[in-house]
Amino acid sequence: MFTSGAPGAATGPARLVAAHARVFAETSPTALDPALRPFLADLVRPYGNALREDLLEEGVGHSFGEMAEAMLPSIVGPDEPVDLLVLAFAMHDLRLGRATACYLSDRCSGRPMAFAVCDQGSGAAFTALRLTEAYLGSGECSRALVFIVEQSALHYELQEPAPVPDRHTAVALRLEQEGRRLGLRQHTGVDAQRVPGLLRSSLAGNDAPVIASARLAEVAPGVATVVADAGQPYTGIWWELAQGGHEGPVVLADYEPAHGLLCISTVDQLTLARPAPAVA
Amino acid sequence: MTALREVAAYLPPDRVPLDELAPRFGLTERQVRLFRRFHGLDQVCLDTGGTLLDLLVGATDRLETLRGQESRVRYVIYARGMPVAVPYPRNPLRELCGKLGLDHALTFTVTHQACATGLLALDVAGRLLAADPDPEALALIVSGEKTFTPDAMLVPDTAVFGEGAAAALVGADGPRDRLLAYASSVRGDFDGRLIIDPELAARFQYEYPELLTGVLLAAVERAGLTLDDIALVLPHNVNSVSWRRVAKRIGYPVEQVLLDNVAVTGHSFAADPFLNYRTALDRGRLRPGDRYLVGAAGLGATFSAMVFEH
Repeated sequence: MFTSGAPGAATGPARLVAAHARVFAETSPTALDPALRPFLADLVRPYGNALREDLLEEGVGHSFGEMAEAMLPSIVGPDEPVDLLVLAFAMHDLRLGRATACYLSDRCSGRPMAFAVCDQGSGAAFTALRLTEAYLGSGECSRALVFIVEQSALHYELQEPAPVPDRHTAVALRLEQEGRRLGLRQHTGVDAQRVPGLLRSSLAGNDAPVIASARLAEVAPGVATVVADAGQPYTGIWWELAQGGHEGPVVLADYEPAHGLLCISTVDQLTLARPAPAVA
Repeated sequence: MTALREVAAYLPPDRVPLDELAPRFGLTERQVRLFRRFHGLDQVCLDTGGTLLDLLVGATDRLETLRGQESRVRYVIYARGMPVAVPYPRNPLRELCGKLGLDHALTFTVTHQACATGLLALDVAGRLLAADPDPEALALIVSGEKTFTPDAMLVPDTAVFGEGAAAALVGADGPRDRLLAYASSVRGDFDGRLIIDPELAARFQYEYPELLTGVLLAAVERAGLTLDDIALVLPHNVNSVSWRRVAKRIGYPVEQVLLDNVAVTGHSFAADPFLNYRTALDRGRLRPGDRYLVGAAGLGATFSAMVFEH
């Protein structure tokens, strides 16, 4: 059970000790669950999106719970209790009604406090880390997992342009009170024209390589050292982080135009554990 | 110390008797009678022609102190019980912020604690505000959901969902309704759909009183208090009978559990704690200095409680 007094200010930054990423090639059995179609039909009915009967018949997509559960052994051992688990996503899960963070808590040593952050596009991952920092820094938690997940199946027509992942990817980040500093900044109310200047000023004096999303690289050309795959719109920069290969600190940056949200994180890459096999 | 600055409630105008809803839910006459007589449920409030955005606007429009303070609102948090509520990439929360002049705020949804998510949102807001360099910064929490699919309409033999909505302005500190303690127990072994899994539903009902009792008592203890110090319990509006049992189990006077809304609103997802706070305030059930206990449980499952000082 998680208990706390009135929330206080965090005493320090979150510390990242491991990052693993994995692409899932298979399809979840949930894709052929008879409950999927009626839930989707109820979901889209008030808004008029046409269902993709072809995808429903074919059975495509993956479940965040299955993906993250498969990664648990690679990020935390059975004798390493976790106090907090946060799931971050943008486009919704294939398993629509499940409180997946709760499910994962039960599969995780320590039965941690667990919840999900969403409706913020690519910003949700940064917000999940920011909240994790708050919980770790309060002293009420000593080990946390953040899962950043996306899956590629959308069983209805979009009514406005939006990124749809082209594969199922999960990234698991392990954070503790000891480790390397994870700096976080979230700038709100930023229109696209302001992004290049704000990003450059935020990075002034910082020579670390910049991993940026394709979205951000488009509005701020010339800043990114590594541009994440556009097919991984919400996990791409975290995937690149988990792949390692950078000496010293690295900056991760993303821009969410629908929210006017520019997010920047600085991570010391040196301490990250060796990545697990990246494709399953 | 995290404090509630203002809480507003919106109960949509349509009051639908349970027997009218029975065909929609597939309820038998016997089940309707059971809900009425045993669980104390009579009708639910629904916003039949309205959207999710309408519900949230209904709540925020009733905040009297938001106007003029928009620039101080740094965080807007939607406490949502259902993991999914609208087709991707629709975002009623951003639309709400646009209407309220809050585009500058950091806006996101917390979920996956079902109907206990309202208390989670308060804890999250408190942490963000505590870390904010501006002591005058505010967070706006909104909650309220549409009963759009069977999973969002009914908990078999337990509760009927309604479409009440709430909005709460929260500060890093304040003169009243200060958060003293929080307890939350996540029990993912209750993963599943009770609506189609009678065995899971039976186990949930069996263990529910002990699990809810556990967090209620833990929150009180964490606040450095005993139940004798608690002037009022604000429940979630799941039903009356389960709260009567919990009150009996912990030896707390049931008349000090605010059950006024159960019969008339339905279980309004994560909004219940805020709706019941508003009712307690409006009906003079809270006096300055009173300590009160708020309890909630969510499918999936999460059991949570908070202690405040009015």
